[in-house]
Amino acid sequence: MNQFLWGSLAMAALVAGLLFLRFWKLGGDRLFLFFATAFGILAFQWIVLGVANPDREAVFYVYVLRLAAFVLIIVGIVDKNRRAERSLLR
Amino acid sequence: MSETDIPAAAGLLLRERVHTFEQLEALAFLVRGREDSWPADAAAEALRIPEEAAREAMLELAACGLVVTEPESAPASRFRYSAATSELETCVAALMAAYQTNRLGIVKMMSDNAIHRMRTEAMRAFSDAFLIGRKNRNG
Amino acid sequence: MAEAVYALCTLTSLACAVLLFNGYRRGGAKLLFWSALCFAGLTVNNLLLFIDLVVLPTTIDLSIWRSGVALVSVAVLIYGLVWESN
Repeated sequence: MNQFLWGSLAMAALVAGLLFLRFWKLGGDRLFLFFATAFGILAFQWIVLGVANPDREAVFYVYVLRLAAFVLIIVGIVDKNRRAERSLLR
Repeated sequence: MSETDIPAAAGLLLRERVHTFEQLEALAFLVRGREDSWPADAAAEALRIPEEAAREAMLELAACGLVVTEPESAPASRFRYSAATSELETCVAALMAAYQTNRLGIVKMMSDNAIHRMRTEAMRAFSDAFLIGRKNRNG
Repeated sequence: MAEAVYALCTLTSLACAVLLFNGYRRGGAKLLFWSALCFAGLTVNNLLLFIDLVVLPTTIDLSIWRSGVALVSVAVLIYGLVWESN
């Protein structure tokens, strides 16, 4: 059951990531690129969980990947606010 | 003459600040009479639009740093052109020049921008939600 | 170290949820609501992870619940991105 859920999660995160990528390509904010990458990383860590099914020691490193994804989103938010401050017309 | 001939500074202003024809006309009116401040009814008469529409357009221009109101606190009774920064001043000058020489291109660009804004509204709301400590532009 | 990572995951996803929900209350775009819901769900997912692996490592196994919550969350986000983005 877990492996099925991880597989579904990987696919779902990949789809969300691609939708964010499309937003970015439509001329949207660079913030969307951060979200797209973050969801790509989330998809990858769920794939790793599903394929390798790591034990309690190794699973920690998978969750480091997950943290990296969330941190990437925070970095994107900071970047967005920095740009807004510097922007000429805002 | 087409959209591609519009200078970048003018295009920037149309993308970021001047969104409606009322705003563009009101801006042009205030720039022409930049030595003075003007009440909404004078602008309305010159532009042949209702006074409320003229007032709203000029209040929107004031909110984005292109116009100052007198008195400064609400309710504003008179409006005067005054760009908040020299960059904005440059953009306005470019826009006014382009509006004189390439009216059709400007109109085309404004309607393209309006369509683009409609299509990307939810997207913008999403990314603007992450602007910390700032009011939403529509809210 | 592991505790810190799980806790930080929870905090960062919570921060995203709060920002998105505030944005939704200000502007009312539906996309923000669904995204906020997604990150709230991911916060719950990370919180369960913390409980499962740090607080009660031997007594319970929440892995199905964790994955289930995360799957519903991401599904909600995809719904928002597809239906409320134009």
